Order: sequence, then C-alpha cells, then structure tokens
Amino acid sequence: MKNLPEKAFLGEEFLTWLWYRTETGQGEFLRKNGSYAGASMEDFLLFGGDDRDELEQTLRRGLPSKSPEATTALAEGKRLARARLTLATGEREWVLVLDGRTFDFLSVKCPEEDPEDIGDDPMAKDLARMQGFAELSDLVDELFGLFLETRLSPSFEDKEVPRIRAWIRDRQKL
Amino acid sequence: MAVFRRNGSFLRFFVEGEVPAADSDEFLKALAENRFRTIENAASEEESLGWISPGDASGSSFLREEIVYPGFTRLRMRLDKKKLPSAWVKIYMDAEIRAKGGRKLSAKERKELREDIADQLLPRVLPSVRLVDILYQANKGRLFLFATSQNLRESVQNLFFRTFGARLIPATTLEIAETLRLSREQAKALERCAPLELGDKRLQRRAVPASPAEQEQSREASA
Repeated sequence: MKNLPEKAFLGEEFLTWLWYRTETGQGEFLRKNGSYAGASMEDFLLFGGDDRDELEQTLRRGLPSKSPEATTALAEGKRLARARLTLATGEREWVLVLDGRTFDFLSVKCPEEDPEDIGDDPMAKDLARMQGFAELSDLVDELFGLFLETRLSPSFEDKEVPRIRAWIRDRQKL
Repeated sequence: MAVFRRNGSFLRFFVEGEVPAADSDEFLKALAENRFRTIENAASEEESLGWISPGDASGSSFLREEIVYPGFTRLRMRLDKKKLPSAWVKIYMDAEIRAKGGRKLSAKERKELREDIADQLLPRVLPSVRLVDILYQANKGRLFLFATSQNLRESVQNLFFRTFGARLIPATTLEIAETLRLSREQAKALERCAPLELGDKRLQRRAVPASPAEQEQSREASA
C-alpha cells in the first residue's frame, strides 16, 4: 500500500464538507470573481477508514449519497475517500471523480465546446478543451480554498463541526 | 494531428525550477535531445521513454505549431516496453526439448536454451506502447499528466527533470494549500490540524443491544 501524502485527510474532509453543504442547501459558492459555482454529489462514493488498511466500502448507482449505507458509514466515522461530483459555474458543467487523499482527477468529463466559438478551427477546439481542464482545476482549488478558510478558522470546532455532526444525526433519523 | 481530449483522468504537478519558454528554440532542443528512441528491433528486453510530438509518434520531429498554444504547452510522452512473452518461451523450450529426445536438461542447459530462444524471438517481438498526453501551463507553474499509474507518474517526473532540470511536485492537499496565500494564523492552524472525528462510534455499538447473557456477564465483570 503506497504512503499517503501529508495532511491527505484534508482532502477527504473537503469531500465530506462538500457533501454536507450540498445536502443542507449550501451547495452554491461565491467565487473570487463574483460568479457562483455549484456542486452536487453523484452516483459514486468510496469510504475508507482512518487506517489505510481498513476495509473500503464503495456505493454506486442510484442515489448512494442518500442511502442508509452512506449514513451508516458517516456515523461510523468512515472517511469519504472518493466521490463523483458535478461542478458547475455559469453555463459550464464538469463531472469528475475526485480522490480526496491524492487530489487525483478521475473520469473527468469537460463541457462541450460551443461550436459558435470555435468554428472549424482544430486549434481553437484543442485550446477550448485545454481550457476546460484548467478551469476545472482552478475551480476545485478555489472550492478547496473555501473549505480551508472554514476548516482553519478558530470557530470551526465550535460552530461548523457541531453542524456537520447534526447533519449526520439528522440523516440517521430518516 | 489528433484533437486534444475532452475527457479522461489526470494528475497535477507543480513545476519547481526554471523551464525555458515553450516557444523558444531552447525548449524544442531540450525535447529533441530527450526524444523517444525506438526499440522496435532491439534484441533484448528493455524499455524506452522519451518525448514525441502530438502529431508524430516517432519522436523524430517537434513542430512548434503542434506544441505551443496560447497559455498552454501540449506535450506527449511515449513509453515502449519490450518483454518476451513467457508463453512463447515455454512453447519453444518444450519443442527444443522434444527435438532432443525429451531428455531432462540440467539447469545450465536450460539457461542456455532459454537465452538462445530469447535471442531468436526478441527481434520479432513488438514492444507495448503507451502514449501519454501532458499539458503544461507555464504561467501557473503547473502540469497535468493524463495518466494515473504510479509508474507513469514517476516516468514523467524523471523525464521532465532530465529534460529541463525542473522538478515536478505532486499537487497534494498540502501543496495546494501553499498556493492559497494563507495568513500566518491559518498556516499555523494547518500545521496543527489533525483528522476530524465526525462519526460517533458509540452509535454503532448502541445499534446492536447486548443480549441478556452479555448484560449479565458485564454486570459480573463490573462487580
């Protein structure tokens, strides 16, 4: 088993935080440029434990983020190691599986290029696609930055953590 | 030349060190010096790693217009591996042994026979080929590798260092945090922060109530 990068747990917590935000009506994020970005959880979740050798649990298809299995995993303190997400800003939308431990971008689908913008120029098409990957990278880093602002603030333990725990408890009541 | 991909998996790196401007002769020269060299006719098991142009998989030409885009540099790495298929070696070995009357060979004889067969077969074996897309954004000092295996991750790190003398640092959570211009307080909090315990493991234990016998045992133990 390969070694995890230092503070890799922050990526797992980031995924859990995104999940919590999207399920509590806070799935819209104000970006530095004044626009908004949205996030939603899709049909793939992979849970792991504190220990890398601990059993992993994969939930896929249907609505795994709403499933009782997902609630149980959260309640048992399992970490969200990977998740399929949709991220959107303006008219553009990306789907990807984000690995929280390594921040690898897996199975990425970038938005279709607008034919009116690129015409028949293959180089313009290439460039639009390259920009699609770069924009996604910027967006994920910006969302991670927003998470870190919350995570590293002095009030995080007293305010945000109880809210996240309450969200997990509420899920158990359903 | 193939159109750049729209989908796929990728890893990110930060570039540490000076890399010549992508539209400079120096950049193209560095690519050419570390170009891919074919092992198609090699008579030994080996691998070859090097740069190719997105429009020419041979590694013999690097055209600026195929590589340099506004804000991006489009690179491609080729990794060929030539490996003798063990099943074919076994087939040839068995045939040779049969031809020699089926006599049991000594370890030395088997080794020599295996080497003879390898010499005979390897020039005919085609290597496996991996073409890997790479996108380099010089103004952001970052690089996207469109592959996820540990082997290719290390290959591109080695090739990039050999070519430009610059290091590729994996974009981990901590490396990304360093690019976010954290305040001193945030940096300290980052250093101190430990994994959160969001779940309540006691809930799991409560979910399965103890049987009367277990409760009795527990009472006896505590008494």
